[in-house]
Amino acid sequence: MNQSQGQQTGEGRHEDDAALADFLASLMDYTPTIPDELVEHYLGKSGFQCPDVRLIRLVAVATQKFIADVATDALQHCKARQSAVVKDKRDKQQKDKRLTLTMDDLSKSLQEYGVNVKHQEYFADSPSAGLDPASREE
Amino acid sequence: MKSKSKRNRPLAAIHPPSTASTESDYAFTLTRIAVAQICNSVGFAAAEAPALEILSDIATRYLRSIAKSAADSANSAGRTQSNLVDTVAAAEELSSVSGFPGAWRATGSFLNSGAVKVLVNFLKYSEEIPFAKPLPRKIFPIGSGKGLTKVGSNNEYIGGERKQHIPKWLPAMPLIEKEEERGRKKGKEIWGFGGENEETEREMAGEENGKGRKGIELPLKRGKVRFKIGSGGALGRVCSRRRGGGIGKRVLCENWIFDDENQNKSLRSFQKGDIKYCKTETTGT
Repeated sequence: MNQSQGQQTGEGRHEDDAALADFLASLMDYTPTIPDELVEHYLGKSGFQCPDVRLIRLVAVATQKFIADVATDALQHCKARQSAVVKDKRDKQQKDKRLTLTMDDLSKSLQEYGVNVKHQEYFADSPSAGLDPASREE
Repeated sequence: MKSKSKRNRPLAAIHPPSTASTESDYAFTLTRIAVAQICNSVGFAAAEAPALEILSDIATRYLRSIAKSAADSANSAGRTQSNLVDTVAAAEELSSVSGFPGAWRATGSFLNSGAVKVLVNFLKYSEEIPFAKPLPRKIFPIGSGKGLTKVGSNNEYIGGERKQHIPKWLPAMPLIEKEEERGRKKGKEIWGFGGENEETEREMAGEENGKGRKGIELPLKRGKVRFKIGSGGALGRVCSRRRGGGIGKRVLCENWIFDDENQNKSLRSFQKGDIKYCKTETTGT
């Protein structure tokens, strides 16, 4: 089993090499949504030194994919929530069909990626604003 | 109750999630725009401000963690610069949470990494959305103040460098600048005098120095003109020597003489046919 795998990788190594080289070459022409300068700034802050633009773009593409995945999941949650609404309400919602990225959908989709996001319940003037007057006195 | 919540909303806008305040605002704003573009491409028409804020914060965290992972693996291999192996390893590490094809293979080559293949597919099937506005090359210039002062060479501050606490848009302080310039003039004049003495020895070098001084600053050249009054004789000599050595006519004459001598020699040594040829040439001149 292991031997056959080794042979496969040995044979396919050249193809993989070529595919990776092609991918890196295609990155030269690709402009990621996250600009190179921004990625470079954040990479430099974390100690990533690399003069090669292709690697920076690779990181940019990876980040872009991650964000797009999270956003797609949130979109599915959003659509599922809308379709779950009762029919007469749905008619109302179809008037404003604009899909909005909300905190609820985002926190649900982020949970699958290991990020726990909690929606802020409300905004308070001071830390003791929401407490009972009795407990505040204590 | 409603009015209270409305009043509090601006507060929430001023104090976004805690990380935003630690990040540089400009970079974070740019990230937010990019993330908004990604969300728009996915299909969202709008986004709540805090949701967008959180997503862009996650984007920056993703960037930093991938960079940290790649930098760590480069450092552990004894390198300072990260390369493709480190980057692919970092991408694999980060995408291992959600998984990627081929993740089960513990000792896979980085050439056929599943994480990279996923990225290849992502590039293939997603449309290319460039950032809304092209950015200048250096967004976060630490030394840009120096560059600005270099461009306007007269607007330099004490010691030729702009101090950190002085805002860029402030004009230069004129008094200090004048004093500095005077001191410089003196220095240059002395240097120029020495250069002129050297000129008697090396004419070409002196010429080059003069040209260099012309190129640097206008007032410096004026100072030199005034100074010439004192050492006119020396300069005159220099000029005469220059003419003697440098101007083309005489060099040409010398060459002609040299040629004539050669021809005379050839007259003596060469055969008759050659002699005729030389004669015609000399008569021609």
